[in-house]
Amino acid sequence: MRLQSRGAGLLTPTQAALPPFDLLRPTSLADARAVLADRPEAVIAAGCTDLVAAIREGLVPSTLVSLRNLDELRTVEHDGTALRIGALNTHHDGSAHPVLGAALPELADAWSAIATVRIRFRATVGGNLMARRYRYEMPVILGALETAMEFSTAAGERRCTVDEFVRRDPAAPEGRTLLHTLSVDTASLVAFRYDRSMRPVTTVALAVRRSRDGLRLTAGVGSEYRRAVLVRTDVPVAEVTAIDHAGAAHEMAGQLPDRVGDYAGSARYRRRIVEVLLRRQLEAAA
Amino acid sequence: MSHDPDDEVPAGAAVPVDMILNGARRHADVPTNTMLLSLLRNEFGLTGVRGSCERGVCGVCTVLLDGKPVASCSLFAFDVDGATVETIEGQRDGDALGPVQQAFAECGGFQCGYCTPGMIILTTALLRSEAKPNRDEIRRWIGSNICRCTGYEMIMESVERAAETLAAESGEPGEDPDTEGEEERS
Amino acid sequence: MTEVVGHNAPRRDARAKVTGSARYGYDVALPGMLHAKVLRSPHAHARVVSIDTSAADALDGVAAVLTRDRLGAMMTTFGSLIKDQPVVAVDTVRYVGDVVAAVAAVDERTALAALDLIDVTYELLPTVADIAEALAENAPELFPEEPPGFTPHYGPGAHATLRPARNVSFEYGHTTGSPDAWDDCDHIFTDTFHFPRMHHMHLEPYVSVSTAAADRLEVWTSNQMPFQLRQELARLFSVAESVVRVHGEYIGGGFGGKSNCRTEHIGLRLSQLAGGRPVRFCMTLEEAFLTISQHKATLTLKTGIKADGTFVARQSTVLLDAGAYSEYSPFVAEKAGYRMPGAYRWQHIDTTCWTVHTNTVPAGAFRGFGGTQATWANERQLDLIAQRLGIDPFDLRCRNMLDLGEQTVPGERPIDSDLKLGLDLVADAIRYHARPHVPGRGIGIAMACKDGGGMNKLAQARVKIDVNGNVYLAAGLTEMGQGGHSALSQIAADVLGTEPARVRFTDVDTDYSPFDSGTNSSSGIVVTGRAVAEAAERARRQVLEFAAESLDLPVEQLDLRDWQVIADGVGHPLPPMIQQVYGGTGFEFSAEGQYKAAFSSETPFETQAAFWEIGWAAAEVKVDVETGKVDVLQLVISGDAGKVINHLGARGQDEGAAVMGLGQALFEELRYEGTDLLNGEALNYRVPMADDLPASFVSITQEQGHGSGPFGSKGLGEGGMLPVPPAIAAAIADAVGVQLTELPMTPERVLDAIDRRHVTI
Repeated sequence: MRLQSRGAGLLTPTQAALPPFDLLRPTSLADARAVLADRPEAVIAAGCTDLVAAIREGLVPSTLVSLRNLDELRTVEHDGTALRIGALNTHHDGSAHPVLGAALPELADAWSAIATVRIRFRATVGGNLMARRYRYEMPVILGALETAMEFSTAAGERRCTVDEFVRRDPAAPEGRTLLHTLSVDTASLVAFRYDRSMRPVTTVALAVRRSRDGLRLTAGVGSEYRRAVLVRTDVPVAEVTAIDHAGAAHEMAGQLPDRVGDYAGSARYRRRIVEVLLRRQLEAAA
Repeated sequence: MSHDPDDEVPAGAAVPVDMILNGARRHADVPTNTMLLSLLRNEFGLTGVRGSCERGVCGVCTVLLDGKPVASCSLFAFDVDGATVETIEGQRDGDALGPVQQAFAECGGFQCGYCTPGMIILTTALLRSEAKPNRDEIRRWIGSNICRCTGYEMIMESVERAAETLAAESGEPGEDPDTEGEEERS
Repeated sequence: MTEVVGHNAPRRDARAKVTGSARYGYDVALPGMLHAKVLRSPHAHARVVSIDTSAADALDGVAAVLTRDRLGAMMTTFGSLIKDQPVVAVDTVRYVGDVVAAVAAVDERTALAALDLIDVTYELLPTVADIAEALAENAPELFPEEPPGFTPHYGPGAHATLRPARNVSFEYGHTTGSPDAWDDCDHIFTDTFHFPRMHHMHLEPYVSVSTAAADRLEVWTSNQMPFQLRQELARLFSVAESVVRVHGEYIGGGFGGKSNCRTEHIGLRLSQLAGGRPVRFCMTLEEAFLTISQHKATLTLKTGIKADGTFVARQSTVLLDAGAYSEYSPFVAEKAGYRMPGAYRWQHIDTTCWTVHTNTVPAGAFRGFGGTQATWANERQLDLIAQRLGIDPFDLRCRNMLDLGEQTVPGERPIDSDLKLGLDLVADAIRYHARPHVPGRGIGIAMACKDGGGMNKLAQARVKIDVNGNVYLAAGLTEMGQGGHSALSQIAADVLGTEPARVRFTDVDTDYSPFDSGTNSSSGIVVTGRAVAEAAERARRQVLEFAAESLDLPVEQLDLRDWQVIADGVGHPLPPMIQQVYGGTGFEFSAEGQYKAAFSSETPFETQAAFWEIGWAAAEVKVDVETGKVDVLQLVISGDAGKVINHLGARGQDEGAAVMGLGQALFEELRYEGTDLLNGEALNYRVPMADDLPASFVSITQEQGHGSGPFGSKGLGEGGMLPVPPAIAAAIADAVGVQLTELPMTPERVLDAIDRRHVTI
């Protein structure tokens, strides 16, 4: 559904209505960078799961750059301190990757729980993030992990956090950019949990990291109609077991702004259940 | 560094697509905007593949791409070049129903039938990856697609029946190995 | 009766559907076919000041552009009792999605490009978002001028009024007994219940192909009501009904949605404007959300009872949100009103039901048809009263439920199921009476009763048998997944002593198919089934009379089996007997049948219910008292088929209906913020998926044997949905002691109720 060009009504574009476009299929990241420099109007395609939805909502690509030949973006690597996930990994392949399973099994578990079996074979983690669609779950999961998104742009390499990208922070690149890698710091990570039992009302991801003064807790909160929100708290203890679970959960949930309230749950309700879910995650992690 | 303009398919040109479709080699020259759903229905006459939501959610249009269930409405035809594609039309065993089809027919795993080809395709993929799936696995896989008629229980029983049939068949010695893939299926 | 009915054989449409070869409306294509698309209003309420289509008209590939100026001789509005919905907007648009203009072009891309070129100027009008706003003093009026409409004639106790109040198009009222009964009440309770609306979400979109010639308007469509559609199209185009021909294809799900004009009226007019070229109009799923929905409702029940729990009197006020146009709302109002007594015995009933207009998507026929709304309020208030009086809800039901054979009102068909038997069945299956009291876990029961088979529904059928004993069964029932064609074929086969495989159900085509007033109200088995059984009986009689003459035996001594006439245990094959008389090409026996529920001058609708559709449900839930999340652990549902014709079909109808009820209970709803639809799209509109099913989901198909259909059968398909939300609500009450009055029972609503419980304790 989209607004008619003169504002005189609503139209629902169908797949049959999509005109042909110029198609480019680079075979390397370097090639893809060059393509994007040449064709700033290009729309990037990977699994096409969200792209097709966008087309049905009115997107009409004149140039499409398919990344499917970029096998170099299907890797998962871990050097002991940082996990590097290629943006082209599908949910299925990425979550089942042995390197991920060994380096960060909690992320593998969370990632393996999202979407449906059928979607998981096709949709990519990069597409999930780039869509900026509120009900998608990777922004919550990777947001809580303070994942860095690495882009190639016409102006060179750029980098921002998932949270910055979701919030459209100035640090996030604008326009047609090529997300190629997601980078998660594993060195300081103590614990990670993801709870989607209340989905689609609310999902909660919690990362516990070692900080200079103790532990730093970062939670991502997702919902159907509002973008994911990050909340944080620092606790001056060294172990998860030593955290005041209820207190930390209360502190973080209290930071949720009023705008997390929507049709599916008021802000008051969201704060309350997020507090419950965070407390349970902390108890489980302890 | 600049990219090679030879790699580009301009909007007016066609992309050559070669694939194995239901066991047979197929070629098509498709405009860039062609969806796999449209290619299968309009070019190859495989009208058992139907559209509904046209955005990958409902699963009515599910086909197997290299053995994996995918929504054919959410795939550009150019992306299946070099791939193996299987549709509901490839499920039959000659004039007879294939084992999964037979199970859905016998167990009443359909009502209006609109979601049925997609459900049968999902089941086929599931049983190839796990010959004896438990209820939770069946629920998870069948949970990929929408059925508005059945309430799912009879679909899940159909999956279990199909698994039993296939297990019994694979246990049978002396089956003629040549029958598989021989017939023209498109 | 032979051994055909009641078997667990695959349905006749199994092969076509598991191979994908079944032809749906979606699959119909004609040579030279054009494609239609429409422009929909972006405003909830506005005056249409001007429309300029000149640029669209000039676009290459455009064959026809339809606006209010190009309706020609076509009537401007359609509907049921009230014709208030414009084919395309005339003066006013009344909801976001209202059709403003339509284009037929060589392909959908061109049609959409043409629509992009249309200029429309609107003058915004104040909007009405919901029932409360619509009924408010000084509310903007959606229909300042009265649209054409009429009220039906009713029997004793019933009445209808057009425009009883501002923004109310129709009132149905219904009283039984004397209001003096209130004087006998020891307690009077008044409670209000809220019911949201769902979208049908049939997977096959609204789609048709239409061709218009001077003397023939022809449509191929997925429509549940071919003859009703024929009638409405004939009226819209001012032609004889015989000019209109409707082909009924396989329907990819209906649930009530595919009734009345959906795409066909626009397709036909575009075809006329395009010189008769075929026009395919296939909506997107998003457009279906903007086309029709279930009725949202507010129901207020004032119920008077004796100290011992005996029900005495009930006054109900039912406000249905009809959306922008009347559609089937008057009929839904009649049925919602009529169903307010539930499955219980009353001395006095006084029901008023209004269809209230709002600037939202029109509401129409939806599985349950007013009964779902009525059951939610009925069963909930019963549980509330039980709690107030300290009576077990099971016992309160038993005290007041109608007995087998008891009449709801004089002249009505007696209740044809043993309600207690069914309630015991589901209660025992879930161990209701032995339920342990575990904090946060609970078990609840509910039941529902609706008059089934449609109002005044008529069906005819024809059975032909060729020389070799192949049977051609013609009837106007459409196949939308319910298995009607299979069941009817089995009935004919059974009567004729042959295999169902020998029976061909001929394509539904209004030129040739016997009349059927519509595929609705779970009517197929009883109403069309009776017509089929009668036609088959008469055909059988013809065959036996023919054989009696050929064999020179009394017809009473003959039987028909496997296309042989059996006399004294000896089979006489029919083909040579027939060819002896009629020659080598042979002959066809042909006979017709008809059924309509009995006329009754005493009932409100002047007809008896064809049968009573009963649904029983029991649920076990676990409630997380910290989050309000409800997990349904067990769901047991049961319907009474009377006599099962096809086990797979019967079971499937009950289970499918129950899962729709499960969605309605917990999460499924159209979400409006003001007059804007938030979730009219596949990803955001949540329907039950396989992983939403309870760990244990059991359906029990009863065969109590009291049905009015062939072999004692009754209809199924709606009864399984109705009791599920109240059963789950009762289980929540049992688990955490809170009584919910609004659907869906979201975690926030549950938690709020738990909070209030703590405050009041």
